[in-house]
Amino acid sequence: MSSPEEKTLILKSSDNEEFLVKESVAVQCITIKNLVEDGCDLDAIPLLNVDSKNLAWIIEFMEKYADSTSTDAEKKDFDTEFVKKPFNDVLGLILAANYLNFPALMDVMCDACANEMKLWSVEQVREKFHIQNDYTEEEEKAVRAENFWAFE
Amino acid sequence: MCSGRSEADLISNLPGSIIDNIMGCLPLRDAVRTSILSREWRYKWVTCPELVFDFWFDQMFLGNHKLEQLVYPILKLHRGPLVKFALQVPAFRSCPHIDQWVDLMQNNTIQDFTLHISRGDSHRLPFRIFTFHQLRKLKLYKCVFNPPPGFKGFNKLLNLDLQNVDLVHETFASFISACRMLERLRMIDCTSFDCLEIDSPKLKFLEFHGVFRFIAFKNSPLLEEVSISFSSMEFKTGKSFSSNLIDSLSCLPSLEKLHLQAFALEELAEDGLPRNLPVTLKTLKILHLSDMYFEKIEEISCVLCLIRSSPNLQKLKITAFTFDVVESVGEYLRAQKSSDCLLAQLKTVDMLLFSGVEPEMEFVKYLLASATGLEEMAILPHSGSVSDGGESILNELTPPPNNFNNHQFVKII
Repeated sequence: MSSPEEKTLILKSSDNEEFLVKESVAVQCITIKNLVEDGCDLDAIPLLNVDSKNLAWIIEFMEKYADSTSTDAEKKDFDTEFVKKPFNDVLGLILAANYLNFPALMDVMCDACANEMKLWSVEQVREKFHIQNDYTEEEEKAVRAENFWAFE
Repeated sequence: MCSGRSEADLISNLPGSIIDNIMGCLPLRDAVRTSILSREWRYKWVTCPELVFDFWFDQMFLGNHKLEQLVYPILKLHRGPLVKFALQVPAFRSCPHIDQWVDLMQNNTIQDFTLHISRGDSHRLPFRIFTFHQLRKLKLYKCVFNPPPGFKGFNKLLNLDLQNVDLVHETFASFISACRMLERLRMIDCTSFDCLEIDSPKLKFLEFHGVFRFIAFKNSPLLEEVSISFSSMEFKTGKSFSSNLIDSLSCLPSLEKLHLQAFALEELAEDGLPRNLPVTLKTLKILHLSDMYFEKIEEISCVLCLIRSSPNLQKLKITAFTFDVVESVGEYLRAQKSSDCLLAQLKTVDMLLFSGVEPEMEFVKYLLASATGLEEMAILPHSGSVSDGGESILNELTPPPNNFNNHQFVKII
């Protein structure tokens, strides 16, 4: 009776919360698609590296992108709102998109991350990315000279 | 804010591929600036797969440094596969440096190459470009495109965009033919052609602006969108220009969307006003006719003829170019019996740069009477000629004659 499009999957987050998602929507994540195609017959698909907070967002994104009635303009507007999250959460979603192999989400989140980075000073980038400046004074001078045009 | 520990964990877990992805979203200058972050980051930018020198890149330097001095060192530092290279900055001139830069590019990774010369002489493309076998997209502006003898085509090329490019007639047709995967071809103001031959089995989109006498489509079964506009009227040297053009277009089994200038059809009337074309454009759904003068009966009759010969036309768009009001044109249109041909499939009509003069109004009335399935007629008034925002036009047209649907669907946009 139920066609493949109507099949619903149960996705389980790392903190054991279960989410119902239509199979046709969930297979935008290649990781999930592969599991389904390999005939995974578990009751729920465990996503060990994705917590419920991120999974809820990912499902929101997946459903918007699977909706054939939403136009490109609507998706863009959705993206603009969707990425308005603290930087930490942006990074978290990037990692989750990587684990789930969800290219559309990855592209949107990486773009959002880059857009934020553009606005920061070198010091701010170091702070947010927890990067230790291990250059000696001479090395730093050499780098600035090598790419002089980028630092003016 | 999260605790410092978990944030640091997050970031140290970022795989290299993600860093590359984020870096790829940064404009070149910002990507290069990451070199100062730490020793680990010094050369992360050099593996970014795209190098794009565009308007924004240029803006940042405001004439302090010339682009020429920067491209070579950047290319020299670059490592790993370069997938996209684009050079499109204002006021860029041809120079020998360009060939040096091309020498530095790996010819087996580049998929997307843009070279835009803005000023001065065209740049003669170095032969090395023709070894870029992975090219999917090639965009050239003001170059001389002369493939070496024996060149077997870019067999992965999908998209070719040529503007102000000098082409060699003898080799261009075989070049196109050799690019078997080509889907989109755009030629704007390139060399004039006597006969432009398009033999392109996967071509879906063709845009041409320039001059040709004949166009021949050999083996273009997928071509669905064609836009042809002529930069000069001189091509109309002999008989049958228009009928040859229409004949060639009628050979396209998938043609759905067509743009022509109205005057390109006029020679259909050289032996008397045509009723119908000898061919039918069965698959045509969208027709855009631009530069329509509404000043000659020949033009009007050829346009109506084309419309009548497109039985499945759903959308018609006319961009007017009316200066003089010619009474006989209005009379001619009034004399057309709409019942002769009902344009049953036509659903939308857009009239752009509409002045509301009598010939245009009669044309619109003819369409309103003939298009029994019409759902919408949108009129964009020509702001120079229409001062009341189109109100008087709207009043004259509504309710439409023979109003089949009994609701108003004429609107001013």
